[in-house]
Amino acid sequence: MNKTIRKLILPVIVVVLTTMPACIGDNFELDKLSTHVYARSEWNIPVAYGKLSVQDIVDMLDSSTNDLIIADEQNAVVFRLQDTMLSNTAADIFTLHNQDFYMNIGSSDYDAAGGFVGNTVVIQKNDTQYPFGVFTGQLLDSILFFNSDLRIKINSNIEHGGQLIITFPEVKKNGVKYTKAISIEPQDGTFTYNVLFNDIKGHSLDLTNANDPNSLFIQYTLLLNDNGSGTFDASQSMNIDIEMYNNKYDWLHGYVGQFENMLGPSAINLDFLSAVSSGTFHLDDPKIDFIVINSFGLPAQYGFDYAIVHNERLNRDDNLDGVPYFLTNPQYLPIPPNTYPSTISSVSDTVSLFGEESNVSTLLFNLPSYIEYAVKIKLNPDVTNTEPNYMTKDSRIDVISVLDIPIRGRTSGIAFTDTLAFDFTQDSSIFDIVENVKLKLEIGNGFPHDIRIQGVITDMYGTPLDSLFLTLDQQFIIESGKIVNGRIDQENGKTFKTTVVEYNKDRFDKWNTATHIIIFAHYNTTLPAQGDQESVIYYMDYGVDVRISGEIVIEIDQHL
Amino acid sequence: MSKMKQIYIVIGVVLGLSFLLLTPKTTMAQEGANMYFLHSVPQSGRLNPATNHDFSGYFGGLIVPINGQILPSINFGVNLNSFCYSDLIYKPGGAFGDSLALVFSDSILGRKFVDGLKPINRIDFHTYIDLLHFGFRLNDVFWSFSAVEKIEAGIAFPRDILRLPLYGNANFPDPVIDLSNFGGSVLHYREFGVGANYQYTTELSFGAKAKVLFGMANINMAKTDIQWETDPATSNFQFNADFDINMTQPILDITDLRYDTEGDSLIFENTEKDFDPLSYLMNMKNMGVAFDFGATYSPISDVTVYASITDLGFIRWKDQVTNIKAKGQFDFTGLNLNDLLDDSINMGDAYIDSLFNMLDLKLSHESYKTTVPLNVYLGGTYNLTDVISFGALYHGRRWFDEFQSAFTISANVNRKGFGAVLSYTAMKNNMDNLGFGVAFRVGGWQTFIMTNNLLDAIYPQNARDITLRIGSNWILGRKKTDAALLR
Repeated sequence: MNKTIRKLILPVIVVVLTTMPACIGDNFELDKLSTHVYARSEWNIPVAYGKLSVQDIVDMLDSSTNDLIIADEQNAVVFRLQDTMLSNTAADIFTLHNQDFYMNIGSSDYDAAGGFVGNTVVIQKNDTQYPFGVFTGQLLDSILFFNSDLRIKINSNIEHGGQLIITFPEVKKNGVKYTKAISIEPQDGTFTYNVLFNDIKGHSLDLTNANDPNSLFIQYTLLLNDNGSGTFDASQSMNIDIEMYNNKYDWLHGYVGQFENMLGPSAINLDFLSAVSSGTFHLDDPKIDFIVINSFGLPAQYGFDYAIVHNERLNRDDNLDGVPYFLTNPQYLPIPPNTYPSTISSVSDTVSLFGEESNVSTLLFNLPSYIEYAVKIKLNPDVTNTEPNYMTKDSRIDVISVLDIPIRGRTSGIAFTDTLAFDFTQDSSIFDIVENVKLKLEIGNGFPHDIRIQGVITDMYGTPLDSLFLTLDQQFIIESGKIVNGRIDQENGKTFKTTVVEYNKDRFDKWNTATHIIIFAHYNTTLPAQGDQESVIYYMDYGVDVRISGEIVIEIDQHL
Repeated sequence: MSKMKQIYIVIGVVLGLSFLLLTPKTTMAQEGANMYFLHSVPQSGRLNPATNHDFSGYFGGLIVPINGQILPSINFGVNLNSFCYSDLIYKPGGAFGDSLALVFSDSILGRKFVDGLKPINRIDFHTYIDLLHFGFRLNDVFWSFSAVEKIEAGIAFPRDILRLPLYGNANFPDPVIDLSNFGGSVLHYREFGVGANYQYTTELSFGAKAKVLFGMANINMAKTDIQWETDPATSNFQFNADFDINMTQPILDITDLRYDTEGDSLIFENTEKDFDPLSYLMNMKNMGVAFDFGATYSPISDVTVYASITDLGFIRWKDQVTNIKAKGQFDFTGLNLNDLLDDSINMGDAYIDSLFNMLDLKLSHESYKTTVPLNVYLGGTYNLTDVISFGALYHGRRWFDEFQSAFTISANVNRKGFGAVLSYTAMKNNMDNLGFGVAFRVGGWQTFIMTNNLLDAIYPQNARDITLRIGSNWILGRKKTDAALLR
């Protein structure tokens, strides 16, 4: 039996072992494997969706620009352009000069003091008046120091030692005069001293007690102890130099004189209109407010030095009329009550100019590029009025211009043009596998305007290669919502339109050298079926619903 | 009734039952069904604890010196349930010359291939290593002991994941794209079993085996359901997901996995464990139990009917356990233009966070139970002589909630520790499984080798089920009663 079995089994094993390598080899020569794949698949993809209202756009903007679009009491959209025309603090405008007071004490002063009596002599110089350097025309009464660096320099060759007391009788704090006592200790017959003091903060300086305006007395008392010679050589003297610099005030009282300054030029940019290529927009009721805030205790005159509306598209510049001009119709700041020497309260006022009082509506009609202006201010404009002024270092004048443009008006057509990057020259491999794309645009428009869009695809030389939409119907993407009693009901009044755009390989082939796409958009507010076009109002809840879906055919015919 | 009639009746019953049960799935990893009737090899008792051996005892295993290391007893198999190499790479001939081509080089062929796949495609791997086994006869009872290291692993992917790029979601053959059952599975456990086979009468014997199981590692993706629907009107996507994953593994300690709604981000905290191979292999905390039952019956002489159930059991995993559940629905309706215009929002992160938020992730560390692969055998043999027999066998295997069936006919030789088997196994969509096995005995030392698909060695490009069983045993003594029937 075993022999029989071996006779059967062994041949089977031999056959297997000889045929196996041959059968395996051919099918596993992977170096001969062609990696070509072909697949054609169709895809439905939801691309994008959204509900965009004016409020959504406002919420998306940076908080620092939240005032750009605001709502009025009816929740209508107001476009606000705000600019600070003028903002100055007292510390910026009115500064204190550095001061330098010089004194020399010599043998004549010794003699006038009667010489040594016993072993001492007291030389006093109490009536030295110094001018406190101020700007021309100023008549300062008093100053509360916030800071002053006071440096006392003494050079002496008086052989006798003693003490020097310097007193500022008009500089006081809590009724105590500002005084410095310096020990005089000559070495080898000479004495030098150079010390900086920074303790004047909180002291007030009264400039009304001297004989002349803007002046103060400094008193010097020099006590000398006889070193034994009993004499005061005529060649000996003491030079005292007092410097005050980095002088800053907490408050200032007195007539500060006239001050005139021009601020600017500044500009209000209307960048969002830069893409407009043609068209006009009639705006109802734009308004300009000038908000003034004054905590300077002095009269001030202000106004535009110039205000020009530039329209680069139409290459024209127009003066802005109706606004206060410095020379012809200046405005005056309200003056806060005099609370010297306490804190000043600020007062504010608003000067409003409505559309009909200026030509701003007319100028905005042509959709300008920017408004350029410069502002002038003159403090104490009446030279005959030298009443004292009072200000603190934090007193300030602010003049803010606010241009409110309610988005309420009409246009029969504004064209926008913008060029965007659309570069497939670096990598157009996506077109190798995309055979066909159908984009379905479903728009629900709740705004009171129509928008028509076209895009022209160009190469780097500007040569048109293709356009986004081929037909007029496709271009006309969004029609205005239905206005009923002046409003578009966002639930039931939106206009819905579905546009299907198809792109195939023939068109993709044209895009291989594309670098840019020029977007042309035509915008007009709701046009009536008949009669005159009426103004429309944009409300904050107005919005547009967008849904974009795609049908894509992908064909892969390549080697892995 | 004549003997031939009796034979025909038995074969007919087996065939009929086999075809009735041969409906659902196809190939599977198996202990080597063609070993079922190779009674000269002790390992055949693994398939039916009632198998009668013609020797008094045996021993073997990896830890047996020299013998166990030179030719360890290993069962190794790889199975693809759905396709083979030649389904993917073929020789087109013609203009292609002797080049090979991918089935995806042609749209029609590619779609035909993916449409022909099963809804769930699996690549399974198994290896069983006999650590130690021995048996001995005591009066009418044959006792056996075995210690086996078992590793089952597999990856699965849904058919639709390959259909999707070929059709797209707009032109998909089914209304729902089913991406369920994507994942992997691992089961590593050690089995210690004690069995007994009782010869009740000369016609009837029955046996049973009780096994204690110790689980080492497990990845059980009980549920990984993902369905994708596209609304034909709006093109909106809707994804429905339902995951239930249990793991026992010594690599990563997942301490937190959840969606933080306040911070709006996914929290995934984990630490690498210090993996100690010895601790891993000696882990006895995940215990289980399994049973084998079998019987043999000879209703008439020369005909024997066999029935057995093996690996009826489970393992309870409680050490180093991680459970992850997730369920939810995610709707994708396109990019939100409001978010797109907001520079502070990272669109990618926003969608990923939304996805995890909707999945309702839940992490826990609770014990769970898995079954071990259950096998059912039903067959019969006709003894041509006392050495040569012909057999027919139905084999069913339950694994991953699937019941896979196969039918095998074989010619078997069993004589004094020497055996041979030539088998043919039919499975649904896989009819070319020609198996072969041989066991040699020199003195007391027996070695064997068998495969269920000899043709796979000759035509590996068509292989879908490769099982190789090799090993060696020491065979002791002979059964005292041994009557040879000559025809």
